[in-house]
Amino acid sequence: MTDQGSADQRYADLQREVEKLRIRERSPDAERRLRFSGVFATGLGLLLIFLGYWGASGTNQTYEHIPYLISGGIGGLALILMGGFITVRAWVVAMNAELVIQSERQTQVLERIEALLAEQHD
Amino acid sequence: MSATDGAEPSVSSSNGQVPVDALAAAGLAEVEAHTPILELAAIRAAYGQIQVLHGVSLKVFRGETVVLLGANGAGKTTTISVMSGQMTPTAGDYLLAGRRVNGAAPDALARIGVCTIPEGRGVFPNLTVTENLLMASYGGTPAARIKDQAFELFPRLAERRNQAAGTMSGGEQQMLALARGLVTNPAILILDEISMGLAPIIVDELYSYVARIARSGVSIVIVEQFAHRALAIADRAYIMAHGSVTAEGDPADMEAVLQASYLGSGH
Ligand SMILES: Nc1ncnc2c1ncn2[C@@H]1O[C@H](COP(=O)(O)OP(=O)(O)OP(=O)(O)O)[C@@H](O)[C@H]1O
Ligand SMILES: [Mg+2]
Repeated sequence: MTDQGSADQRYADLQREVEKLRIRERSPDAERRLRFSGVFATGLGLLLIFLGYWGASGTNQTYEHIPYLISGGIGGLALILMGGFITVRAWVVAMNAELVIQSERQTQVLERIEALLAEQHD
Repeated sequence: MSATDGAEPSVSSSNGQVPVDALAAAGLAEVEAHTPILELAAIRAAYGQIQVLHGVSLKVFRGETVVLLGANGAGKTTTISVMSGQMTPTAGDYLLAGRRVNGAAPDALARIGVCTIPEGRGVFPNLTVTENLLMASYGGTPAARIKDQAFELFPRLAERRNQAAGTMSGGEQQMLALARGLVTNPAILILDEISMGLAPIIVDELYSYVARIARSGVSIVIVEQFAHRALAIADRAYIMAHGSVTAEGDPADMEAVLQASYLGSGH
């Protein structure tokens, strides 16, 4: 019969280890969404600025320019900045994930070499 | 069976605090015993645009040996690739001891105790038996202990410790693959068609080892196309077809189910 005590122990060990696991969601979708929202925010910002310019150019009263300046100019600029930030972030996230994978591979190789060296000394 | 019944705090306390000890004693332990050590819930997976798994659900409880059967192309190996972390599912949940691990890297899963022996053995043909065994160690385990453990269970490997793995017989290579998995002391062992291309007598021998591993409390998932021997040692069986699970049940009943469908039992 199955050694139930040992099965429980293995379950407990796995449960403890799995809680410690750091999981990078390697979902290509998440990255694509992030990049898309960056581009979208930038585009929306440009559109707002254009609409603001277009609205403001329809009148030569300075007091009427102010709402256009605020929502079109400042709002648009903020969106462009945000879009740029998100785009850079998407890029950094992707690069970082790649680095982590690389360094994990290197660690594995080193561990194997270490094991083989230990073997030589036996 | 209702695992959650026990989770209801049956003891109430006057200060409104949950009596943790009582709760644990009465319920949590029982709930935990019913949490599968491995669970796939409505898993979908694809190779590029081609979807291969269309919502696979299965459970493996601690200490259990589960066999997954199905014809060529049913999606068995793909299911195993999800379990080993080689493939990230496009939808659904992959749970280990109750935690979602979708997207975890294969080496991380191997390190925490999910050991996969791939289709086609995966030993390094140019390395000796001993070198192959040491490849399995993730730094921590001392080389001497790895060898003791492997050679005790598989005396045949001890005799061939300095032989290049590629020059051994198919059965011996499969034993080496098993041994390499075992020295990592896994919680879950996943085997993809270990009997492929081997003589029946060798398959019998291999399965006697698998049965021994099962008795030591390792939870095991066996994928096989030829069902008979795997069913003989399994606690539960699933049948897959076209990327879905089509039947689940007692191994004894499965032989009949299989006979009625495409496979026919093994010989
Ligand atoms: N790398 C791949 N790229 C594209 N399609 C694949 C790939 N691997 C498998 N498939 C397809 O996925 C489906 C399921 O394959 P899988 O290998 O999971 O089946 P299986 O049940 O293990 O079969 P077998 O018993 O032959 O090993 C098949 O239709 C197969 O053609
Ligand atoms: Mg396969």
